[in-house]
Amino acid sequence: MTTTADATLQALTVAIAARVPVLMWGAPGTGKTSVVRELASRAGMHCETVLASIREPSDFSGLPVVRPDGTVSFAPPSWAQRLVEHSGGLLFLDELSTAPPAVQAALLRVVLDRTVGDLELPASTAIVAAANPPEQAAGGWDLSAPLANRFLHLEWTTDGRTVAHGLAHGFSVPVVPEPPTHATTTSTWSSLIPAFLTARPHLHLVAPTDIEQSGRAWPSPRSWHMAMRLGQLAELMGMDRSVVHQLLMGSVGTAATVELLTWVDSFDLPDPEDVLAKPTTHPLPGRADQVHAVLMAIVASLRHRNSAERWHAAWQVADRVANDHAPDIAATTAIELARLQPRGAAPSPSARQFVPLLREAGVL
Amino acid sequence: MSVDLRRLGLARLRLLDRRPYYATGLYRLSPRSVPGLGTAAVDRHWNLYLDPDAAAEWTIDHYAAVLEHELGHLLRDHATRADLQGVHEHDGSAKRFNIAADAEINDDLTDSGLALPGAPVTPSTLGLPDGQLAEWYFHRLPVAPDTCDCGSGAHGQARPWDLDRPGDGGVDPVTAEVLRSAVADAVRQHQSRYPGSVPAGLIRWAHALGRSAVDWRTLLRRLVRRHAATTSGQVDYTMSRPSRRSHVTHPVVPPSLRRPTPQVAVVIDTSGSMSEGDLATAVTETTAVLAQSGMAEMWLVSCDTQARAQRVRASRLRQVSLTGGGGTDLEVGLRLALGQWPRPDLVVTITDGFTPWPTDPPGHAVFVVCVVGDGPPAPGWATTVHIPSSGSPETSRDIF
Repeated sequence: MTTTADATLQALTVAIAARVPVLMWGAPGTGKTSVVRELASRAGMHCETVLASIREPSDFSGLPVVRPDGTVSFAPPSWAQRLVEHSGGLLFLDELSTAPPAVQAALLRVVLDRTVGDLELPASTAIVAAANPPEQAAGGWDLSAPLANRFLHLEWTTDGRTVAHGLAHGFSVPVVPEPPTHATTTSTWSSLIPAFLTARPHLHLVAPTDIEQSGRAWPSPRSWHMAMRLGQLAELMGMDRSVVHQLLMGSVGTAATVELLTWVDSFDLPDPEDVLAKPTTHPLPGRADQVHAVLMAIVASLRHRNSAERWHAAWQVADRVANDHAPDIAATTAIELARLQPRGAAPSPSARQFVPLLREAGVL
Repeated sequence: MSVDLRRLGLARLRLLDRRPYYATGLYRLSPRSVPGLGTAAVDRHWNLYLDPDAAAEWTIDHYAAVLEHELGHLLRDHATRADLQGVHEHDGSAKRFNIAADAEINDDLTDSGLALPGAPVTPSTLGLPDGQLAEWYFHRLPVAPDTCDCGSGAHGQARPWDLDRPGDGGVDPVTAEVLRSAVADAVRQHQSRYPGSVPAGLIRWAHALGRSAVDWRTLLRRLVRRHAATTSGQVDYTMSRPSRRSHVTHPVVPPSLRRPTPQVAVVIDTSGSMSEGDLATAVTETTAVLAQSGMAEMWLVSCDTQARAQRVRASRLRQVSLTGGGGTDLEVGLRLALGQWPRPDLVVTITDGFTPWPTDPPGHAVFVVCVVGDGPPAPGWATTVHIPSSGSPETSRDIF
């Protein structure tokens, strides 16, 4: 059983394993902080919590110190030094959306380059942030679009059942998995996303224009790359589809994800010309909506170029669908095919079997 | 006994003959038999639960209408919308929301020629007007009449028959969003090819799906907060002046804080074209938002063809009387507001939009314009926030 909340939790572990900065959005008091701390302790990671809202920019860009020779160095704060001493760990930036804009700007380098002042954090440092939506936070600020684009955004939802179970038996969190070492292997997403962006080049960069979206996930080359890495990793880790979907949506936003998944759905489908070439043997998809889509594609390509031979081939496909899948899906096509009969073509013997069905449905 | 798949197929065929644009969504429903259910129900994962005995009694037309009805709950995302309304099992609100959702769907069904079995809920059986959203009906239904239960897909509350996992169609929340946008696309295409063939409610849904609107109060609050912050630097760090404590912390150079007081002016269009109720609501809400954002005092400019300015404390706003009537020229009001001292950094204008606007910004300030009703937006130098007029129904996405 995978609820949305479970999927979010799993998406969080994938992002931590991939060392992609995560930003969890959720109402105050929904357990974001405790889940992150629990995750870190279960994974044996050193956890440093930094409240971004009570910090000033120099806590992230380093304190400017004037040296005797007149140069200025940027001294890292102690939490950064502790992370280096533990050679990595989990940096948890709490209350991110209540951080003033100057602090957010200073955070850009920490989040992207893992650099605090003159100190570089170990590459194995995972960064997790939590934020309340500005309308729920006292004194909230909108997240700036450049900072938002560096994060994977996860909507933190709680459902009553999980809370009830957690209160009775303690909240459980999954263990952060070790990232697979063979992460360079190509996966579905590493080939699908570039192919999608070739087909829809305008979606590679859609900078947010309205206030509502500027603080959330939006498509840019950076976030598409993030989506690809996360999708790939989640697949290698054998995660559920809904987890992958959350990862995609959190990287490039809902609109781009919906476009991508719509495109992927049709990308899976066989070419209507291939099916028409081998009407009795070419494999057909198993799901009803996909079969319907293939049949509709065949009708469309017949409209484009029709001949007695192609028309009869289309009937053979409809025949197969009627026997192997659902007769009603084939019958919808049969109506279209009957209208497309080319001049001089002999009537199809398959057509007759659909007549009683259509009549019974009140369509004829 | 399980559901007769042949009859289900006939019903799908019948429905798609009338409504071909449903195909993508309809074929994604995973049918399940639930003997004793008495009717049909859906859950959030696009599982369709059917009582085989009840289904056997429906005519094909009834059956097709049932499919359209249940699919309607999923397409219109009633489960999520019920959550947003805070629907609960125990206080009967789940039942009420179910009926409200049924009313939203069924007024479109009646003009398709396909009829639901039994005595379906429609707005007219509830004594309410057609063409409203479930939320609207929900707040106007005093008690829940006892009717059928369309399952967790209609009201968000778990039901004993729910499988609680994606069915064969593998529909998770993101896939559901993909399906909704695919059906909405098909609806829009069908409507442009055969105008008048799609029920009005469905067209509204399809057009609303593409654009997501937020509550205007949230939007205004954010705008005010952001602009008040950037124009005046409410609490932000600056290195332009050394911190007062820098002699103690030497050689560390800490920043200092700056906090100039933001000044705000509210220009109110009091011309005759503004309805009394709308004006009062807009002014109350807007000034409340400003007061929440920390503006203790503000300039209030009431404006028709002439303008009058007064300095008011946010806490005394209720006692302010707005005078006016007749035509509008907001430029007069804007110039008067900008001529005040202390000079406003943020000018919030409340208008119906039917006014001549200056082509260039009338001065150096941040301009936010709240347009009440369906009026035209302000020119590009101002940010426009649309406030729905109390007379016009909110579109479905305004609720989110």
